[in-house]
Amino acid sequence: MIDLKNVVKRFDDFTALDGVDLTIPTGTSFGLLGSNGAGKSTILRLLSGIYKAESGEVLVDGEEVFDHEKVKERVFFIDDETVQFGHFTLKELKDYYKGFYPKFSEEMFKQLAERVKLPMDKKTDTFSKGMKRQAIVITGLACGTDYLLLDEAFDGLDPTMRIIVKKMLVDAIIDRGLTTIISSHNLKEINEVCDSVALLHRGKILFSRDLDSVKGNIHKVQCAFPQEYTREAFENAEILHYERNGSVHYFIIKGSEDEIREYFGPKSPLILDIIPMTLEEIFIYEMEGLGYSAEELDK
Amino acid sequence: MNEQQTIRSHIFTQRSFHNGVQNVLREKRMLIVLTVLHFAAAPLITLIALGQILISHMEPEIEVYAGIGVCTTGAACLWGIACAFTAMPYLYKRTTVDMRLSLPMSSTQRFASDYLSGLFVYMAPFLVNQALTSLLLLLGHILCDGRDYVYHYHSREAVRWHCDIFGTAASYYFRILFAAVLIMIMFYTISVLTMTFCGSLMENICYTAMFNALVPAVIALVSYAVSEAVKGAVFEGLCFVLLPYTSPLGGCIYYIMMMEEDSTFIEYAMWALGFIFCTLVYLGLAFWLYKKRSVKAEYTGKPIVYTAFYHVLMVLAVACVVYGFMSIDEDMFIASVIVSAIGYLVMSVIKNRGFKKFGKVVLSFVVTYVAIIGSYLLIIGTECFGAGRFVPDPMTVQRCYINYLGFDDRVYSSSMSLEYSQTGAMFTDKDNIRTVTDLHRYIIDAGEEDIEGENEVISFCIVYKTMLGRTIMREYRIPADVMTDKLIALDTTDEMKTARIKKATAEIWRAARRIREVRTRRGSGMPESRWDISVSAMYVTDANTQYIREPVMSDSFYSGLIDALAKDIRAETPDQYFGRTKSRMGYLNVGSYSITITEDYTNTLSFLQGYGINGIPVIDREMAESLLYNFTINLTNNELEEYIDGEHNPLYTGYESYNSNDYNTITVTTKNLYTEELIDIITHSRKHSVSENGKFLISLGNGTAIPDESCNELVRDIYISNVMNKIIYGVAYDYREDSYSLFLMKFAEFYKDRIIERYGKDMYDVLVTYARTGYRVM
Repeated sequence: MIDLKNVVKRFDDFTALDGVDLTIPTGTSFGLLGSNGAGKSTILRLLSGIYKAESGEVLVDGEEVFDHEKVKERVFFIDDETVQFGHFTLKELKDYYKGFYPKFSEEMFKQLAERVKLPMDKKTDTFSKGMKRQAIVITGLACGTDYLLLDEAFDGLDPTMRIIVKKMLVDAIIDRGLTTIISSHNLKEINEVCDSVALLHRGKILFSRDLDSVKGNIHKVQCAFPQEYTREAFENAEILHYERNGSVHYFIIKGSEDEIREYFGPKSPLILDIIPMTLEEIFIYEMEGLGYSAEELDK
Repeated sequence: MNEQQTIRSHIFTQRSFHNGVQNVLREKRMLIVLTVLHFAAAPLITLIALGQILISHMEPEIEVYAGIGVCTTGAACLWGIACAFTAMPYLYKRTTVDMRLSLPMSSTQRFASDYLSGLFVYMAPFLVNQALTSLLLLLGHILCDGRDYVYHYHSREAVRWHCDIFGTAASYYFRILFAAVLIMIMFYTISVLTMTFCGSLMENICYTAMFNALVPAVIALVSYAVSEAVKGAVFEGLCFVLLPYTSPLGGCIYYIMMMEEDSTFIEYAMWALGFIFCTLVYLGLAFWLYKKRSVKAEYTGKPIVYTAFYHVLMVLAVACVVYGFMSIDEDMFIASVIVSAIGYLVMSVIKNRGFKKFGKVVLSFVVTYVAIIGSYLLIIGTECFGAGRFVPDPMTVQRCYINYLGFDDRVYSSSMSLEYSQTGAMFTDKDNIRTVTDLHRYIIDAGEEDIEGENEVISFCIVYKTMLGRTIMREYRIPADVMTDKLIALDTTDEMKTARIKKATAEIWRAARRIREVRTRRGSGMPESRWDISVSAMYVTDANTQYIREPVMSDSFYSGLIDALAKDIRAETPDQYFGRTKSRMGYLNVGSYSITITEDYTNTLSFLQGYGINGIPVIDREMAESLLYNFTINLTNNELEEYIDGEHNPLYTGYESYNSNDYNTITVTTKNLYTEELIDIITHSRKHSVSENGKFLISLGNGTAIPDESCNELVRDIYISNVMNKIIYGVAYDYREDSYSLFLMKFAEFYKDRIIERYGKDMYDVLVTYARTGYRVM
């Protein structure tokens, strides 16, 4: 299990993480969402022992990660940079990491390499971006760690390869209880791969829960009323977004379906459509509620 | 932090070893390049020498290859910076941070592994090539050393030579090798150290170069300033307290100086220990900064991670400029401000990547400059806090060394080598030390430049070693006779005798090695040469020298000779030593080394009799005639000098600085007129003596002598006649110098009766007029 307890991380005057509390159970596939500069990559780097928190605890299976090689050997971090191992061939990359991770599986590496059909003896800096990502993903999986941290996991992968990589991750999660933490802006893939997510904004966790309850807790509502209502009539609801087109009101509102029906019921709506949202829509409207929207940023 | 984390992990694990191996494999190309560069130096030079000898039988000509080798191995040695960079790229290259720092190693393991793997890449090519060189030297020693070779050079004449090159080279080679290894390791460690406080490649290179240049430069410049401020302070003595240990450049300077004979002012082992200690300090500092920095991986890419070290380097840079300019000329104060300001501000702009916080930068420069110029003025103004006037109390001095070995002997060396070359006189007796400190105090109180004496100004070097382990070195320039006046009380002490014996021992063994070397090279069948053992009379010529006929090579001979000499020196009484007895004097010559002996050196003469030398040759009339006609004779008039000064001046001989060059020394141009008198004077002069009542000195050929008192009248007559002859026969030139005028006036006064008696009143008046006006009016 991963635990971040009141973690603060600063870069000079900038506070990247401001009292973050986060728990990630073992065996889950966890997605980190957030605006640019929210602190997603910082969390991953704290968990992989690259950074040290100013305060708070960063625990993996109850132990501090930083400067602790026994803990770090349970964690493999795949960042979004692929240039640093460009001078390796795939075989050399395998040999490099094999010496660091005691549970490295040659057999798994071979199988995965055959699946993605990468050449073993060409230097990886001759690979495309997607091929480099495949190379490091299969290396990371073959290392046999308990935790796999991926920053922009699917960046550069073609649609077919995305499916393959997703399947690899899922197989690993199922077969050996791998815990994956994926940071990505590709919310469609987070939606497909992850079962829990956390949303960050400006160094703070807005929420952290399983995907179903995230989706079940925010809806798009389309309704019309026999009376004239203005925006102010709905102040007592947690509304992230409101629009009106004639007599039809459009809401993005927090709450379960039952709670929403209960809320609008007294107003006797003529039409009440409750539409589930995609993760992308949830992200956009949650951020908009915090003032992080395209219109605000364009000003 | 839980209990498990408090348990320190091992530094050297399989993982850290694997990391190191991977680092080395990644730098395969660099390994190959460095190997080739190092091969082009010592191994190639040795191979070429071996080839030239084996194939052409020539004495090796390797100058061109040596030049190339110095360049290639120098370039490879400087590559230490690059080896450090490639071992720890995550300290300056952002793209490598995630990959390297996420690996399951602790920061200690990572530092050790990366440091050692980079060091391996740097040193392995060098060491492999030196191992090859060692093998080649051994091969050369087996195949070539000890043999005689003949080859025909351009002239077609046969050139014979004896080979001992490889054995001789090996003794120097291994000492150089050990020092080179230490210097390279320090250079690499400094490169790692600067990487820990810089976060970008450009800053790394720049500050590594600055560190390597500034540390020795500041030490040298501050030492120079202190040596200028403190009268008598020895620049090398101050500089070499720190310089040889604290930087690769300092280590190289020490080593080059140490390779010169008699310059072992710091023992090799002591230097090596000190150098290793400093390297470990730098390594410890680098590790500490690395650990501090490991918690801030995000700093990679910042120009300077720890600004404290940047400020340290900038302080050193400003100090270099200030002390450099002010040491040249204190009027260059404005120049020092301008140059240091420009340098400081440019570096700040580069560090800050612009003009951010420029006001703070200017303030920082002002504070730095004021502090440094303040330190300079404080050192100069207070003579380094009164150090210039400090004379240690004899009771606090454990031992002291001086370059005075008796009234007729000096060590031509600086204070730096007095202790370590052991050719100076060492005193531990408090009374003897007091004699030295009394002279030291006299020099300070009188003022070095204001001390007046009769003779040439020479260096007086002192080294004190205090009870607390402090070393104080001083060098002053004072007249030779003033120094002797004050120190002559030490001449017949046991400690001075010990010093003279030590010097004789060292010189005789050195000469013995040279004799063997020459004999070995030229073959044992060569006739006697000037490089062998002989005893000669007071004035050395071939005619009055006896040689040992057979070349002497055995250690037992030299040991026996030294023992005999030591006994004689110890037994010598003050009267014998100061030449107050009539025993005949001569020289014992061992190769190029000569020591004065007398007939009282019975042990030495008895020892040499067993080798065919029968005592000190006599200077007979024939020999004196030969000396008279083959050498220029100068007479120095001490009685006239005393009359002019109004002070009593003892006469010293045996040391050329006692030769006076004042107007009271004249060259005898009338040898043919005074032949018999001069022969008489020569045969009755004592070349090694001190005379409290001496009237004249005679300089003949290779030194000065004091004529016997019975000859004083003769010498006086010759002296007066030579001065007068110049005036009478128009040889004296018209002059304008007051000092010569004073001399002639005093000469006329002192010898008035004699001059009138011999030359008449008219000539006396001519002399007086000439003395007053500078014109001869006959």
